[in-house]
Amino acid sequence: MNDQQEGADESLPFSLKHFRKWMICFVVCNFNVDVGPEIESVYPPTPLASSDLSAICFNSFPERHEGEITEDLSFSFALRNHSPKVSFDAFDYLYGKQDYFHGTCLFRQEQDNTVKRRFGQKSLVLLSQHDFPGLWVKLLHLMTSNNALGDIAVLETACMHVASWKPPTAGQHQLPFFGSVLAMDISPNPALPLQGLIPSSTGSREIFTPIFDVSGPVGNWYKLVHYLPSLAEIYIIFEQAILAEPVAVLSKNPQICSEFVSAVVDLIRPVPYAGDSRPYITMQSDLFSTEIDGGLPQHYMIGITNPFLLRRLSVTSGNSGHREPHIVYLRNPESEVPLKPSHQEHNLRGDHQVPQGSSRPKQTKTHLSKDTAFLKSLSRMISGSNPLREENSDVAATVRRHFAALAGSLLAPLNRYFATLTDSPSASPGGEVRYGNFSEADFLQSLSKYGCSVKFRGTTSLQRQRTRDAFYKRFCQSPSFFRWLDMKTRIELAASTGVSPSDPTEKGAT
Amino acid sequence: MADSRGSAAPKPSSSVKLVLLGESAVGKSSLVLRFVNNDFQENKEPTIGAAFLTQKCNLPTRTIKFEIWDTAGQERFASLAPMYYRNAQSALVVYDLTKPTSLTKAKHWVAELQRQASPGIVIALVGNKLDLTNETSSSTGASANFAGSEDAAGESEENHAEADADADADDEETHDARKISTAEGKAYADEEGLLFFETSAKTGTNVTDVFTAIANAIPEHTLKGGRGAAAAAQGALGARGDADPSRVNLNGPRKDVGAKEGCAC
Repeated sequence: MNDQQEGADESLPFSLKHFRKWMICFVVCNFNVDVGPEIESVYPPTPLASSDLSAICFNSFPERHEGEITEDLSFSFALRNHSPKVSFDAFDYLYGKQDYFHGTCLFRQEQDNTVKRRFGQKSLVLLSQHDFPGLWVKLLHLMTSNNALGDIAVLETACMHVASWKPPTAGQHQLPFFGSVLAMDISPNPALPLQGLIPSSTGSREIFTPIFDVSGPVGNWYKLVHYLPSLAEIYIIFEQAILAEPVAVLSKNPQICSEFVSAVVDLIRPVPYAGDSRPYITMQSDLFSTEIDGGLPQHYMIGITNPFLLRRLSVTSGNSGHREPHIVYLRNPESEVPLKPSHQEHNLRGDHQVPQGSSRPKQTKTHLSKDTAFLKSLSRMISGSNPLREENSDVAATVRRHFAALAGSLLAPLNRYFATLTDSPSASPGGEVRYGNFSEADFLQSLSKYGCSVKFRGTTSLQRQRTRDAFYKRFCQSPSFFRWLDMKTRIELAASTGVSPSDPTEKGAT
Repeated sequence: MADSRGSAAPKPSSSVKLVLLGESAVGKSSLVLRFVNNDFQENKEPTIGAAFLTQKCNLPTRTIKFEIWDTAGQERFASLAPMYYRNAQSALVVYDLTKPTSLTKAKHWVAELQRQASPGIVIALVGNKLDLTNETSSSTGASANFAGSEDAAGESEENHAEADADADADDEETHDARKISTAEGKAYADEEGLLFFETSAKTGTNVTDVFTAIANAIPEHTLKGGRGAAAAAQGALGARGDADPSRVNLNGPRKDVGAKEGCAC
């Protein structure tokens, strides 16, 4: 944070400067039946603009939920920084986008006989410049598991702990927090969780010590697969995400859509997600005025619980001439997940109470062929299991491994092509990295010559080749390609020069 | 800090979670500062929440790496204590030799630890501010009598009577602020099966001895190497840590946060 904001440092029992390397502040929001969501406290005191505070408030409560909420809900959101007095230097960003706030909140509903409704609703929000949702959720749970939400002694203690941490640089970290020492790895590139980390010598680490990969997903597929409209849908979602095509995830529960978005961003690794990812947005979101022309961005993935947002998405996309999003209607996890999409969409829309007038999205066209053997084995693994009780880590590992391999195979022809290019990447005096002479036509030629191990849709081999070429054309024109190429180039540059690949400017780009 | 590298023939190294509890201003942070940095500060600011420090303790056959949680004594932080003593293998319960209420508070902490902390936790009762009593001013050597650095629990019994006599004798000559006799602290410690020391963080008397005695008292089978003392303790001390809902979920059905930390038991 800039110097001008550090005036308040002396009155606090900890170093605000050190604290701000990791996060901005905690915000406690209270739902007042008469007024709506309101701020109860901000700690440490932070000069957030009132528009940002109200955005944080609106994003910190479920827009709808079914029945009683007996368990805490945790979900994440991102919003643009409109607070002129809260600004960060570029090097304060590790993951996450410059000029964005990443909020993670823990929502609790408790019986409270002092208020009209007989129950109180509160949220504790952790606001940071870094997108470490897995770590943030863990911290919030540690802070609140035995304590009242928003207890000032807890907030002060949390800040004390955080201010004692070493700044979040790439590498291994041990973070003492409320009696636990969290072991955490930060990789230089969020899309490559293992690249650039020094392997720890065996023996010094206990195998059962939980080690965080900060860029890892918050959601776990063992649970999330049960919410899929069909198992086959996961291929459509994967393809939409890897091409950075717009996706909207509709759920009845903000935690589920938030976890789902996080899990999809992880699914396409090692391709960095290139769109605007918003794990949870509400009607008040600034997403609808992100672009200069006041419209939606072209590339996004959002989690929503309010079906009325679908109509708004549809109208806004139409106005700005963008593609309509692919909508994932998350289902009720109690019944068995069908293998293939049935003609259930109508039911799902009805189940979600999708309002009339939101256009019916056309069937999303896909290029990748689905691996039925994989889907069947996945179906066997989850049949009969209860998503809310049994933790089957095999399911998560199977899904992540399968799609990591698929993403790797999709990248293989590109890697091969780049390896044949004679000129190595170079850095211009301005620090911009250039990858000499990529030519789409040359690449497609190389592709047809050497082929690709991934199966594409089509009944004849000619059809399959056409689908394949169409996929790669779209990929090479998508922002995903540029994000991936930029990452690849920086890593290669670093390997050849020994200079750190992390360049803060890239993190502002979407 | 890499504790695994270093000496040429490394001894087995284990992490031990240690928590300090006690009334405000009895000198918990000062004891830790003396142990970790061999330093002392007058008028230390009160601790907010808790501080975390580590320090190694070399024993003849092994190295213990203490992961020290120095908790705040102020009442407003008292409700946070369970998070710090959860899965702790050892605890230092500190009182002020010159302040009777601080021993009452220490007894409360001991009772709470015995009720709620990991079974088998090693607890040391420590009376601090020995420098304000006559013991150290008369002779530094005498203070070692309160507790042998080798085996505090067993051998010091015979010494306290003699030490007490010293205290009585010195009372007249110098200003002695002692309000809690060695015998009183010792008797309580014996009754509850605690290690017992009287220390001075200011002069350093007996401080290292407390930690060494704790290191020696930790049962070998509960020790696991390297990073993850908490997880190791959980594994060794049984599944009580996470499985007992009365401890983890005081507020009713909450998401089980600790689930990820547990080992496969």
